[in-house]
Amino acid sequence: MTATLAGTAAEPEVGRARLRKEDARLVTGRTRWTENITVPGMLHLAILRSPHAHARISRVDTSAALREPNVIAAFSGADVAETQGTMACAWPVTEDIVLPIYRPLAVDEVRHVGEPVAVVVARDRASATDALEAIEVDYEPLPVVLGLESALADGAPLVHADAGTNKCYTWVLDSGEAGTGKAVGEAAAAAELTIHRRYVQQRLVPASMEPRSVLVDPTGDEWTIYSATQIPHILRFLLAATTGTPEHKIRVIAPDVGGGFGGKLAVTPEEWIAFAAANRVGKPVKYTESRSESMVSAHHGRDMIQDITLYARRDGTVTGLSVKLLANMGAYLGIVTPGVPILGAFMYNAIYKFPAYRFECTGVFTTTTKTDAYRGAGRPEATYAIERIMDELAAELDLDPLEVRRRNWIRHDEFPFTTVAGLEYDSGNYEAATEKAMQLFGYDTLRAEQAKRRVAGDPVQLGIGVSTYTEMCGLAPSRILGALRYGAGGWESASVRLLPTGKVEVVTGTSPHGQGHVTSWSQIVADQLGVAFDDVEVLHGDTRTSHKGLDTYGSRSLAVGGIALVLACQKVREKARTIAAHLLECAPDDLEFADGAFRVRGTPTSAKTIGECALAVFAAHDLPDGVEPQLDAEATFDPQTFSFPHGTHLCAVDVDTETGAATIRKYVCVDDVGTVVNPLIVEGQVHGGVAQGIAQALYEEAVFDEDGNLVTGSLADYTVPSSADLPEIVSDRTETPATSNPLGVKGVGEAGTIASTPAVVNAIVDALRPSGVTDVPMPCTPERVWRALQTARSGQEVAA
Amino acid sequence: MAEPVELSLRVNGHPAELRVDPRTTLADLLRDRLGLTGTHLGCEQGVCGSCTVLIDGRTARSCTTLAAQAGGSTVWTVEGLSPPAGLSRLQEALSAEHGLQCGFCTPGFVTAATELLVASRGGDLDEAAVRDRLSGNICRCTGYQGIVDAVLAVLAEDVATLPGADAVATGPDVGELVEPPELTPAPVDPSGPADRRGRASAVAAEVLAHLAVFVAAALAGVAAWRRWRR
Amino acid sequence: MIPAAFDYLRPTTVEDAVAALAEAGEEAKVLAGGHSLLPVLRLRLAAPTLLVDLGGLPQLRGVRTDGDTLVLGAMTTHAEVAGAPVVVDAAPLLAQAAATIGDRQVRHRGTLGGSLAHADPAGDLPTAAVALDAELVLAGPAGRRTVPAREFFVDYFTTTLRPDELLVEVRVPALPGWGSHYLKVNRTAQAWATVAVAAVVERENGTITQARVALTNMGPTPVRAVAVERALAGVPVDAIEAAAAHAVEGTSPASDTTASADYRRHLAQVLARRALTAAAGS
Repeated sequence: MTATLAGTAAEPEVGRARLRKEDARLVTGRTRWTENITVPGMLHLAILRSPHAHARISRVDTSAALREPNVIAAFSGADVAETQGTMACAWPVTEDIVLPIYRPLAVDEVRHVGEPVAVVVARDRASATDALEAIEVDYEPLPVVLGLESALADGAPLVHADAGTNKCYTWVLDSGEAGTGKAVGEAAAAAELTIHRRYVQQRLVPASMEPRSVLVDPTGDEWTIYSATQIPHILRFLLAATTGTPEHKIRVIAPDVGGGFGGKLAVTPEEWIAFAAANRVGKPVKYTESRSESMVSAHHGRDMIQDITLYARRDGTVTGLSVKLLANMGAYLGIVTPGVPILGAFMYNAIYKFPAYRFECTGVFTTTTKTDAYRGAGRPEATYAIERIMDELAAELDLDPLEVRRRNWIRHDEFPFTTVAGLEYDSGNYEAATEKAMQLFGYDTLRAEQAKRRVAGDPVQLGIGVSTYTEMCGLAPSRILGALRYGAGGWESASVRLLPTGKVEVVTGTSPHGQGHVTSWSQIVADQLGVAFDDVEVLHGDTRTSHKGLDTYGSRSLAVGGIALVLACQKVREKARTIAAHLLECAPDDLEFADGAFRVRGTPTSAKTIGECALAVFAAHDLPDGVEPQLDAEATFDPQTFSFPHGTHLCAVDVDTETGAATIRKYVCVDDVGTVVNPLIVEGQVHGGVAQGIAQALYEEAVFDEDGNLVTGSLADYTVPSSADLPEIVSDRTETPATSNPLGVKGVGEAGTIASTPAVVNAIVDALRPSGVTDVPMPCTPERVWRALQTARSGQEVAA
Repeated sequence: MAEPVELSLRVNGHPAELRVDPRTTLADLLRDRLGLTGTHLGCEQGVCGSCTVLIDGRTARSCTTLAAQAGGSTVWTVEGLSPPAGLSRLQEALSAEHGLQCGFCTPGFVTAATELLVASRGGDLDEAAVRDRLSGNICRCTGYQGIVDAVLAVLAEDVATLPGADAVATGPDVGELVEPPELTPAPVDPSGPADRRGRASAVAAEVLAHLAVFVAAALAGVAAWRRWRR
Repeated sequence: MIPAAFDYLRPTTVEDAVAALAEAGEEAKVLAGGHSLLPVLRLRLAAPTLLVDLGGLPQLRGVRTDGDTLVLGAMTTHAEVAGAPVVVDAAPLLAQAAATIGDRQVRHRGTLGGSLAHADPAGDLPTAAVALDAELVLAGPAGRRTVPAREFFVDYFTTTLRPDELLVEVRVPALPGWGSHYLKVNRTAQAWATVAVAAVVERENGTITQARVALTNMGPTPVRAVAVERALAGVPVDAIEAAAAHAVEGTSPASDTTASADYRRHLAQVLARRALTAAAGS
């Protein structure tokens, strides 16, 4: 066989803007969303949901529904109380946390509007929906509790009566006590300047475009579960653990999954209910939520009150930071609900060298839809608060916001740097990213224009917003997760299989739903094994193929799963080296691997590719003694530390002071996500993240009325921005490789969302600061901007 | 069950003859009866645009159009806007500009972009105009930058060769809007304009005032809602 | 969600449509484009037993002129109203208002008659029709009657249409030489108007001879801002600012998740000033 050297020396795959392998199917609609999948004998499930935010269920009668046309089964929570299992919280953050019982179908009490109460299984969706109307439910309304502070007040109605409190937990990080810094009390006593602010992180809805959908097929010797989920492996484990179903009899498939953003980082009551229903009727059952069901029952994100106090010297040096948080859990705990604000605990100190820090978070139950991870999960909230208050410090000292940051940030020559929150940042260059962003933005020119418009009294004022951020991602070192009482590890798995023709199958434990892993993973493998990009197939999202993994969230897939892949490839290479040496009749140490082939040092014409080695082990006619005839390898990587992407985002906003309308005129971001595998994909992740962060700043908010009804229960009311509502996003990068992993990668999925929200709000406040405005609550709707101006102006009049 | 509706239409150039329950939406007809699962349902409330198809050459939301309304029409879906093998120029551009991530909204964008490209006849649309014309489709992944860039990239090309371009080009031209025939003469209603008894539209005032409650009620089923109101 | 079951009719004459409505009574609903009705049916906020689809009535679609009057068929789509040269020429305000509705998909399916009969106070075309003193032709079993737009809208989503009547034609008197402008603020590009203002102005030598102003979403129906109009009769263009301050008189805006009544009142004044300035300048 002729030595065809796959992979060329010309250009490494990592770093190339490869077009995505995923696209051809997706862009033509040849897709397999869960809702597209039908199996023989499949029935349809419809769910009756609570119209009350809090009520006792005194009676559920499904008998009339059973008489409706095409109905196969109808049952309530009480009917399956013993068999439906429970929903699990995987992150009990403190020892004394309140962990309420969370039944998929409510049994005796409902605690938020939209909670599942009863179901119908019918031959078609229309019949199932029709029959819901025949179910009779008697509710005895109970008092609702909606506000975070009112929920903690004495005598507040209780969401979970048997808990005796609405407090879920209180979690504290104190640098003085932890030995990671000084005590905040000392900083407070010595402060020349103290700035306190309260910021409210409004409640958001992840709102992936594909609604959640699940199909449970109990046919055969196992349960096959198709679900629109980010976490097929965790779903399998938890379903087994909470229902007693043998884990090896459960096969979970996440087929094409249409976005997640944390919203599908969930094991859902609907999955459990479909499982219970399929078991009850012994037939495949499919459930796909409507958008209005999704809005009230899929978990929400954010919803925190942040009291933040900054202690500083008059030269702009911050000496201490204190954060007191109230975090809305909603009515129940999802798999990581309590941990979301805790992820933020490590990020309030951000890129700065604060010497003292105290963080305290209290989780609070309310009769609302539960919260859980939403893109960034805790870190956008932290970044928002610190980046907003750094601007307040700048204003107080009449300094440029970037100058205040410069006086406090970790310089590039100070890495590795252990922060006051106890994390070691391995690398970064905040100066370089900021300098590049300022150039792209035209910072000085825009400041000059701003000054002119202020003097002219232009009714449309220009504001400039700054956000210099970092984040911890690559979740996560298992030992740290253990120390934080998280119920699982943070490793990731990959295996690599060599086919006889030299093609490569990669199995990853990550579970992409838009991130392009098939493409990026192919690039990594191409470089590692010297095979062609097109010769790599990446398999994922099916627990039968990928038996081991911890799935996709927390910007972890590349920084953890990608490294597992590199390690597996290394093992393959080492196995192949033995084979190649045997075939070339030399010692393994005489071989060097480059450009896709093993070559004998000094005799470059004598070469064997990995593909040739694969064919040799397939034939297995002539292998060294004791060598297994295979090159396949598996690796599991458990990171030793997090990765820390960072960057500088700059935003220019025109604020119409008459209508209050804020329009983003220019948005520039320079991100440092370490080594870039695929610039196209990285840029797309940044763009999408920035858009969601802007959406929090300007457009989106989940609002409940006084009865606990979600009044923004459709996409018409929960205003996800369109192309016409968002600006052009100018993105660029600096590249400071992570030193904590062999690829130098950091992660990019959440960066844009974390960075952009404070950049936008800082810009709006900056535009109005001469009028005395110091804050605009999010989302900064035209009315809120106008109100902030009215209030500030009347305040100034009073002061005058 | 209501009286089924006999339906005859052309979908992606092929005739379709069906009997449907009147409440069947065009989206459900395409997905469930014709197997054209490239048309996606993202909100079913006429907002997200994932279900966008061409009806008689113009974009429409198939989730808020009854199948019966499309009787006699020509309908094009993403399957018809894709070449039998490979990609259209628009689809290539969407991939090249990374205008899709999860891909769920993408068929709606392909449809909307095909229509706007052909209808604009290579006009000199700028980025703002493209953004405005795509505002009927929501994407949660891309921040729209790649989608807008893809449309701008194809704008200068010969869009007449895009699959489905003929359907758009032969769609109704508002510039040649026909005059309606004079209505057949009818007697004058003697009650005249003074009659103000009033008729509520499908959405009653009460519904508007309490929309959230009603949405919740809709979730819980109309029967439950009625009992609750009492 | 799936709508509750209903029967479906697609008549080919106005008379048949009216007869079907008369027979079915209150349980029937008229289907035009469907982009407002279908979401309501899907959420089961309404459960009519019969839908009468006007899609089979091409005689209700199109535009013609009748002397000084523009006559638009009720089934003319928003896209057609926005783009038809004859409308742009004779009633630019109507075309401009139609162009701001929703998005392309909505404008391709949504109809002028549907929008007027739906009578959403946040709708754009009702306001334009009121500002332009349009007349609406209604067909019922007893024949046809013509109702001025100002009298057509009764309350939230409620009009003078009787259950057995159809809106068949909209007649808009031409206003040669007048300037006009429709100005809207909304939360996102697709969203309904928070507030919008329709202004039409007749000018002579730098003086406003007369003006008509109507407001969107400032009450249960489109509101004619008569106080503004009064303040603008025979005054110089620079009197617009003072006149616009009267925009809140006679309004009763709602407070909802989009905006408070206070903010709407403020916005009405700002937008009235801007719309009138644009109209007077054009």
